[in-house]
Amino acid sequence: MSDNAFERSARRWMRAYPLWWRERRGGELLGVLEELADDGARRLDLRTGLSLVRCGWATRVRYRPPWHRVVLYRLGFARLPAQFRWWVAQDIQGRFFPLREMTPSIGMLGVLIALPFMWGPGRAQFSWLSLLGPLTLAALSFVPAMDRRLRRLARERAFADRPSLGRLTDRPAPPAVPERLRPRRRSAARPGLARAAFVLGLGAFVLPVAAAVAPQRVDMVPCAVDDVAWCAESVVVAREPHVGGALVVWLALAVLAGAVVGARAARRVRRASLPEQPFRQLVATRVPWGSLTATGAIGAVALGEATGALVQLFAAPLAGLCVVGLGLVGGQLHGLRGRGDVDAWALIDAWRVATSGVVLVDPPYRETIVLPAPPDPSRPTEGPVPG
Amino acid sequence: MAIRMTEQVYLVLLALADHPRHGYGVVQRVLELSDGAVRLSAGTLYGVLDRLTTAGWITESGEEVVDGRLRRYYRVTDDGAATLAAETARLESLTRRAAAVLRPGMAGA
Repeated sequence: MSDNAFERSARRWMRAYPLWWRERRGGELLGVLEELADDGARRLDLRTGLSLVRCGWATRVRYRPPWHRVVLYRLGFARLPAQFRWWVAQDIQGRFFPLREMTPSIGMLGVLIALPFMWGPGRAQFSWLSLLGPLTLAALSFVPAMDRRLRRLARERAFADRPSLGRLTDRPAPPAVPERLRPRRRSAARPGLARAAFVLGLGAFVLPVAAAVAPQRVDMVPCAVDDVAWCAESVVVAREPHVGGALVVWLALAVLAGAVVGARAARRVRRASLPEQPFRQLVATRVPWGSLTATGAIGAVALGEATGALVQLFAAPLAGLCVVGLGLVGGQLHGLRGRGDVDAWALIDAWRVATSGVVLVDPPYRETIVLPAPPDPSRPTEGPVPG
Repeated sequence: MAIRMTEQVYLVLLALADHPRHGYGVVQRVLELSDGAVRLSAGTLYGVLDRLTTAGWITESGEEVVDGRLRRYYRVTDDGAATLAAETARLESLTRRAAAVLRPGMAGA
């Protein structure tokens, strides 16, 4: 039997099986197929091939999680049980994963945009421009950097304890190349949180003031078109007294939300168990470019809107976000204060514990060592000819 | 997880009852046990092995590479052995009753 031709033929039929299954049992199945085939067979016979297709698809159906679990998993509300980890690994590695991952966001944005066209006293006129948001989000999923990032995050989330499960292949192993393991560099938690608290505190103070004194603001008014009832357009109007009351209510809600997330973050950080991180190096940020940029942006928005150079648009919503963020960061700092291992915390740990309650162990970077090319004997060497 | 005891499932369990076998060994043994009536295809075999492994009736018991081919061995677990014994007893009882129906004179034998 011509092994290569037969193996290629068998592997083509075996594609009916899920990739993870082929990784676990593909070699074994191939061995059985070779032993069952006639001597000298160059390809798998049609009957066996069709049987593989039938059984492969039955395997796919058998190991697929129930649809309601898939919906919750896709929306990010639940992780799938351990028995479906292989399915998750294949999902993350499969084609168009970023598109699947972003489907809930695209769908929600689509619903929000579609509401004015479908609901209300009348219907707004449909505009193709309204599809720009969802289409932009969908297009973003095809950007290679976004693709890599979404897959990496999903892999970290699903396979924190067994990173090797996150990558599947049924191809023969590539030739071994020399490589070294490099630790992952992470920013230390305490200085990063302190900087974040400063920036958010600044925003929580100056942005409400700017919103309160802004001389003009943006308002939404019905369109000046008779036959379209549910249509609105934005106009710039002078500041009115009742805006101050709305701002106070908005900030009060933000304070309440900040207190809730802060208390939860503090509790989670205080109770979290920090695992060993053998492949991590904590580093101090030399120049905090992120904090400097955020401070500059907050200052520019506050100054512009307070003086009327900009229409009041961002200051009020940003002020609310800053208040909630300050609550979250304050909670993290408060939770860290009671711990003895505060110097072992990375900023990412504080964020993950506060938001999901889970600390992930960083896998090492595998860095390929580039060896110098061997000398080419066909090229003459420089210098004296050896005797 | 319970699985349906089909003839193929029963024969695969039976093939693994005496000692561990690899995939091709199971196919050969099933052919022998069924007197040539059941020739498992590779796809069917691995469907059955998957279901039996998930049910905890068989387990992997080692692997080796022979002539460049991977062979993974399977063996019956205690649960699998108990299930096999129960199914065999049921079939024996059924066979006795069937014989009594077909040949009334043998009912008391």
